[in-house]
Amino acid sequence: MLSWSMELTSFRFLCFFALLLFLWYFLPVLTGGRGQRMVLLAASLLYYLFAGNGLLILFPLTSALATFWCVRGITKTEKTDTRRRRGFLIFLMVVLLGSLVAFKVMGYFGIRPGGYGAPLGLSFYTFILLGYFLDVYNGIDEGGVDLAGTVLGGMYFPLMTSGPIVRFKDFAGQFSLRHRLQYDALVFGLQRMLWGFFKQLVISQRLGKIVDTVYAAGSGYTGWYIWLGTVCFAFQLYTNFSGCMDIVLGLSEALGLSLPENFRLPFLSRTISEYWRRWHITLGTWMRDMVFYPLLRSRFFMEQGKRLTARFGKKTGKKLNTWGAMFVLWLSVGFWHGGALKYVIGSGLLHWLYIVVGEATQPFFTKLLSERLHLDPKSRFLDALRVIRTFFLVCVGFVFFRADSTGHACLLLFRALPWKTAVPPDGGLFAMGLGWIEWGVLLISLVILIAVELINEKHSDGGGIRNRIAAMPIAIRWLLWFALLFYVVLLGEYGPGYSAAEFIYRGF
Amino acid sequence: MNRSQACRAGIFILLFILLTTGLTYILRTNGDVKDRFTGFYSEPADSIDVVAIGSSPVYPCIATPLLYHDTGIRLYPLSTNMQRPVAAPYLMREVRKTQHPQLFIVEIRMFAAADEDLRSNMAHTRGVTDNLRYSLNRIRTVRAMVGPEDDPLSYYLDIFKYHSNWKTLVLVKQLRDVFYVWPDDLKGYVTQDCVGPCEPADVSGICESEPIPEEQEEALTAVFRELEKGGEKGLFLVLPYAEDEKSARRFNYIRELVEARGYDFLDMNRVSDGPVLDYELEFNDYGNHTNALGAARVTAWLEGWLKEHYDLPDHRGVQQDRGPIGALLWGGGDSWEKAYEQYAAEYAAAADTIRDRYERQEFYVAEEE
Repeated sequence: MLSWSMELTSFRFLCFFALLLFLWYFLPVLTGGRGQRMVLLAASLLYYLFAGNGLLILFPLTSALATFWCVRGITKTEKTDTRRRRGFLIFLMVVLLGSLVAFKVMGYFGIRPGGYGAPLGLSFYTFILLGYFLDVYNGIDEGGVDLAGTVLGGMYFPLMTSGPIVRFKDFAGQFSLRHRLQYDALVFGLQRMLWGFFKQLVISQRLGKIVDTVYAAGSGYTGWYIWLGTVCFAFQLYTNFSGCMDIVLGLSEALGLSLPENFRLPFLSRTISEYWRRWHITLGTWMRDMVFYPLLRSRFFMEQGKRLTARFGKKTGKKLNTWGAMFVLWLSVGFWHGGALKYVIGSGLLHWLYIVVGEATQPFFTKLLSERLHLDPKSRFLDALRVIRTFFLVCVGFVFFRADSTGHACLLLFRALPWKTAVPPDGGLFAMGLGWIEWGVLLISLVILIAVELINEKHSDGGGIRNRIAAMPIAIRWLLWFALLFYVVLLGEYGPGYSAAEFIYRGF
Repeated sequence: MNRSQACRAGIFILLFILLTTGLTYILRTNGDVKDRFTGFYSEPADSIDVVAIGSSPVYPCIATPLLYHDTGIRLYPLSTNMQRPVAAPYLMREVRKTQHPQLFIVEIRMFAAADEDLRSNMAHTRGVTDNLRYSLNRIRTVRAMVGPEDDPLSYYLDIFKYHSNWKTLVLVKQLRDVFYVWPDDLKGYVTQDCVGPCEPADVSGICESEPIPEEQEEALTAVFRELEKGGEKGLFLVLPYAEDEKSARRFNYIRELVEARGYDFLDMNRVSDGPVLDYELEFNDYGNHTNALGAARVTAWLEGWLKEHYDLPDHRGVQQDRGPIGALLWGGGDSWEKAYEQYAAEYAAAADTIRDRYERQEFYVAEEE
């Protein structure tokens, strides 16, 4: 089996990236501007060959080929020829979603044909390619990307780990452009990668030790220790996933390519709907555009909407119909995270329930707050409470996400009930996988993370914190970057004696 | 990217490399092996007469300050625990970067063992690779000693391993190694004050020979080549220990190869007028390594042997030139005489401890690795 550790945080990957960077910018100098796209295509194929279990490259290649053929077919078909257009749609859905569903189901039952698991980046390239076709099908995108561009758009190597799920119309065109070495883009990209390394190697890896201790089968933790483990998992997942995005987006920025953001301070969301506009943004957007809106426009939901309106009135009927479509949407989101029930509940239906209950009870609470309690619904105090409430609800979902099974999650939630006494384990907090010095490092790192992300958000209009640092005198900014660089070099958890840093969303 | 930006990027990268190198030197695990190597690098150029290469018997057995005090010969050991013979030629090349010794002593106990057995613990490899300063020779050493299955990256760039030592950054003893140059007070010698009695092994009657493992013979041949290249004299040495019959047969084999090449061979366990050790009292750990008393006895005997067989200079009374920075950092005076003063004090204390321990029958207990 041809497979190599090519995690984005590995030294081997950094060497691979350095070589790519060199070829990307200097080969066109020798070839008169040609060949840049081919460098990236070759790099993506090589990356997949070495990091994605070799032969499984046939799956994304077949998917890209099918997408290219269907897009070309559909662009050559008259819009009035609905039958032929639907033929292409059904064919591609079967090819793309068929392999996605098959591997998810096989993964659920632990089936690994020939010893292989799912192809690397399965759900990411499937959604990217399917999104491209659907955009062309719906007339949002004109198509016309050639075969190499389609393969590259689907298999651009940084996206194969954890996304983001890009839209062809915003992304694929960049490959055809000549990218000249821009100092600022290169430096900013590398800085962002460094920030990703900080999140992943310094914070996420340490949090993972606490989480693993609390969530270990038979660990016996109760009460607030479980909530501590769950909050740690929330931040572990955030730093792991958003750290990966920082590396992917930074890497692309260094190459002169622009990718969509995937996170925007999700734990400061006031509602679950807002949370999904800040967490894994590209998945939420894709699901909204490719699943939710088409569902609402489908004949079934149109008819259903009419029936519900007739029975419950316009407002309630429309709401019920929307909630029905949302059920399918959240079921899909849960299923996308994995075939297991714990994902379907924790990352899907539970969030659907939150939103439905939230919308259903909103009039009552609005009335309660303004008329009975005489509170300004827009006050900062209430916003803070909403943030805490939303974070708590998200954490309940994370219990399912992280637990071994739905049963394990229910057991943990039962043991975490407020009236369950928190039994301190032997050694207390310092027996949860980290000694007191490591706890200190973790807390300091979390403070740095939160401070930087808040400052970054505050100055997002002006290009964020990186622009502010770039405007500082060279001595200060070099001091800052060297400090971060050596903070990661020294305190990062990598190398012999540490388990290799893996990205949690890699498995999806 | 304009020229100024390119320069800035280049300076940043250069600074990063320099800082990472210094940081790695600081973070490498502290201990006597690190001290021995930083000490070696701190010796003034062309000031060492003899370099002893080999495994752990060397540094607790040859009391280099005593040797200097008695004969004026400057001998420095570049020995590490269970040093794999494959390292020997690379260490010789490392030595020649700053020193031109007349004689290389190659301690050969590990040449009788299979390399596979020595590789089982990475410390036996890292003892050498992770104590060399960054250079081409170090890269070649790693390439020779480390296979692809051993995670070679963490050998080439040992910050990958030692960054977890970051808590030691506050130790002055670590910080001073930023350039991997710091004098070793006892010139590589380590005073040992434990007692581990053993029976003297009589292997004098063993005349037959048994080939050593193939890879060790290759290493031995590489040492011969290196000696021929450098033109130094070579002494292949077995220091006193509880030698077994199999090893004795293998040492006979090595002796044949060594003498055929015209180099000297000395098995201290089998020299008729060799050092007479008290096996009850003068071994640290049951016949493996000598303690301070045994070291003094072996060194005293070796002094005579070296004087008799080699024309080595007597440096006593000659002031070493350390340059103005060296003098500022380490003070004036003869560092070897200072080493002897410290040695004498440590020896006296160790001798009392050893006798006291022997009387109380408080014997050496091996530390768990």
